[in-house]
Amino acid sequence: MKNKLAKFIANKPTKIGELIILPQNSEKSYLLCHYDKHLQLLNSDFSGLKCLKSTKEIDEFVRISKENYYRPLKAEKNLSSDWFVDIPNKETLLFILHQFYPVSIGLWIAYLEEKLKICPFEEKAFRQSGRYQITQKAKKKEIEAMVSEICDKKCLKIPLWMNKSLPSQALKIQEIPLFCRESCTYFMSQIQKKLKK
Amino acid sequence: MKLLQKSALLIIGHGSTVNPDSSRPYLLHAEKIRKKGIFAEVHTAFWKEEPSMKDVFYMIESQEIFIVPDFISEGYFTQEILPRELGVKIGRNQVNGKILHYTLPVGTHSLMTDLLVSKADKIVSYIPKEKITLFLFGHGTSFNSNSTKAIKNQVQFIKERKLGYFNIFDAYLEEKPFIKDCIAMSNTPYILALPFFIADGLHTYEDIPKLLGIQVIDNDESSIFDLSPFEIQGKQFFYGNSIGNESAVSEIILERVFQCIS
Repeated sequence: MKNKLAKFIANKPTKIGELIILPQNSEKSYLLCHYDKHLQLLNSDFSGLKCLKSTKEIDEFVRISKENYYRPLKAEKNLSSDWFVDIPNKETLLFILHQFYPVSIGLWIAYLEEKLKICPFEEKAFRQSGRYQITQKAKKKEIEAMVSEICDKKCLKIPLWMNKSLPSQALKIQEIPLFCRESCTYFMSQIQKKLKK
Repeated sequence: MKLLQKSALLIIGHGSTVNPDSSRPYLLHAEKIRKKGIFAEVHTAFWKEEPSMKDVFYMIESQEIFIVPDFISEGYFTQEILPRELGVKIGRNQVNGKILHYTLPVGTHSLMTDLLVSKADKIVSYIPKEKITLFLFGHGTSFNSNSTKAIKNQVQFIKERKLGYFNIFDAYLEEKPFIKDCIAMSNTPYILALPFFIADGLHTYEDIPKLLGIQVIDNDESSIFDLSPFEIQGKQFFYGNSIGNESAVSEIILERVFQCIS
């Protein structure tokens, strides 16, 4: 997986979610930062940016938004931008990307290799139990409304389970898309709350 | 050990869509184990957070995976939800060409008793034990009758150690004996309550204090444990954080894996 990732990035700045990977030193090491700060970093200007140095530090950073709220949706568009990570190798890059966007690289590679199993909403709802069983009663309109409210407005992942496809490349930069192969627990909890009302 | 160096460890937790502290202990245990270099990969997955139990397999490259449920009891989650999501039963399983070893949960391991006893000692070390009623608080659920068994067992194990506590009880949020009745159940001036939960969250920060009439006005919810003891109906009520936060839980996770290969 790390080799496929490194090969894809090669020497090109690569966007993923709100982040950008900047290859360094003949593609052996990388800088990772918020997309909004990448021009600053390309100029080797680290002023005002915090260097994240440990797994724990990144976990804590990913957990809380720039507005100081908990981020149950890891691909929500609300990461702070005043930071960077100096990454020594492709193994660590893979690990850190997994911290920011869990499983994103695995899902992307499975998608490219046509091995990604998409789970429709009905199948996910069928697996719910207890107070979440009510999600089995969700109607198509209610699901679509929730997708519009959560997936479209808040989340950077592409909900393949709703038959959404890859958007056309708007940026002139290489990008790794974030895929969502089944409705997440946050989505299910919001649907459950709505149906309960 | 050679087998483990080519294998992955997958720690499964509950997680939360509303509370940031719920997954913290799992991530810390995973990191501690990762640093030991025993496994080729160490991953976490959650019921209510990312990555999910289904998705995480897209990140695991090892052929052999040891799955340890970091849950308290052999109950609703570990016997019904996790096996269904993972397609496994306790022991060795072959799923989609990979070997998955699904272990018993962390909470029912015998080392948990040591953790509870040592945590209790740390909180009330200077008070004579015969003046203390020790409570283990749990969730309890009508979904599975086994859910309280782990806590009842721990109460029994601690009693058998004859440590000198005036009494030791279990109490629950959703089953009898209820946590709200614990003050009335105790005949001592001091009460020590240890939540037998894997992580802190809504239950330990809000539900339990509310049931006991404890009001804490602080932006940092976790400060409730530092503010203990509280005076409730003339008794001193000591309140510890969830047992799952103890860093030694990572040793129990490893013990569960070693049991699989021994």
